[in-house]
Amino acid sequence: MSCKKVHELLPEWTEGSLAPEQRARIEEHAAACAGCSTLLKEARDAEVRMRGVFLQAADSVTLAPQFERKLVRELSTGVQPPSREAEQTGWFSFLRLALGAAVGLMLLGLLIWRLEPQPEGSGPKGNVTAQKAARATVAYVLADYEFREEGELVWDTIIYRTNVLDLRLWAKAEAKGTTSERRKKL
Amino acid sequence: MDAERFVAALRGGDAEAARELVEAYGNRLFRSACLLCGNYADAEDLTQETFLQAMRSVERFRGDSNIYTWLHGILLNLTRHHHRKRKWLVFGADAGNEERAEQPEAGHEMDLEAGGLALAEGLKKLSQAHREILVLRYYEQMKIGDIAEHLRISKGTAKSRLFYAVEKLRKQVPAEMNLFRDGGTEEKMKVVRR
Repeated sequence: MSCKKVHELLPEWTEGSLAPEQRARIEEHAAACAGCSTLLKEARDAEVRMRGVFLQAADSVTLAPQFERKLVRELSTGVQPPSREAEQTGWFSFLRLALGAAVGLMLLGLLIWRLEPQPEGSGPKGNVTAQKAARATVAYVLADYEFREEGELVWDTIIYRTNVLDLRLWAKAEAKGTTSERRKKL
Repeated sequence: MDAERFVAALRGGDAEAARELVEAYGNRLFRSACLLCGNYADAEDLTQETFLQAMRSVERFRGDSNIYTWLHGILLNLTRHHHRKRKWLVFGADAGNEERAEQPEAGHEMDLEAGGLALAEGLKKLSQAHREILVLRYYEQMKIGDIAEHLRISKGTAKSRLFYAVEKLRKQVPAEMNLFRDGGTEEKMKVVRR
């Protein structure tokens, strides 16, 4: 077994989940390799210390008896009051909605501006090798915030709804002539 | 607590089963929530919400799965959602409120001894993914395979995430805590990984 393989299997070795023969091979390697021998010892010590400090931190806190009683009461009556977070959802979803709508309108404005044919004389004169034109008709864009819980899953979504995006693009590599001539063709 | 009793408690109407459920899992979930979010008030909310969510999802509980692992899965999802909301709150608040949104109220901070406090402070500075894997490994004492299953990631990802999480935590906790030795395991592993 190589040193690299020993390092790969270190978490399984420290938790004791390796098959006996794999464990024996690691220990056999460590007996002949001073670096890996130290590594295994340090990994085991670090695991013990980390578990100790996590347990120390966690076990020093306990649920307050009145909170336990409240939980039991809620579970036994089946009442499901909104949590502190749920109470905040009113103004919070409004904030999201407003932000979502603002971003949506900005994107739409940018899209229409990019697709609008440029006024005569503003672009390069002479032959144009490619021309793009578009018409966008959007009656409305609505941003909607949706919060939904399905079992263990929590859906947290911003949805943009629009009626239609009538978008037509022309790209003619051989197109020639002025912008007004091409507009007549359209 | 067996699966049948657990389901009875979650269906409501059985005060004795509800009491057994809270006694069996309440504190353990609350402690895990404290490590995951760093303060009492949020941990209480998350514990309460975990039980209520479990009541709503009781039909999805398969009797053959471990009760605590199932409850802890709900807690993890709620914690992630809680952190996402917290980020939005910070984003929505003006600059003056930013500190307040990030820092829980002083009275709600976990009251711990030095080692525990340093750990809690260190954990708060890590990403949610790193905090989760450290809590699962060192508090829940899960094996790598179980962590991978619980987080729905591969074993390789779990190992690598754990390695980097430990490395990040090491930079956050004072050296005198002696959680890690200078030039110890992590340094040697880094040399091999290069």
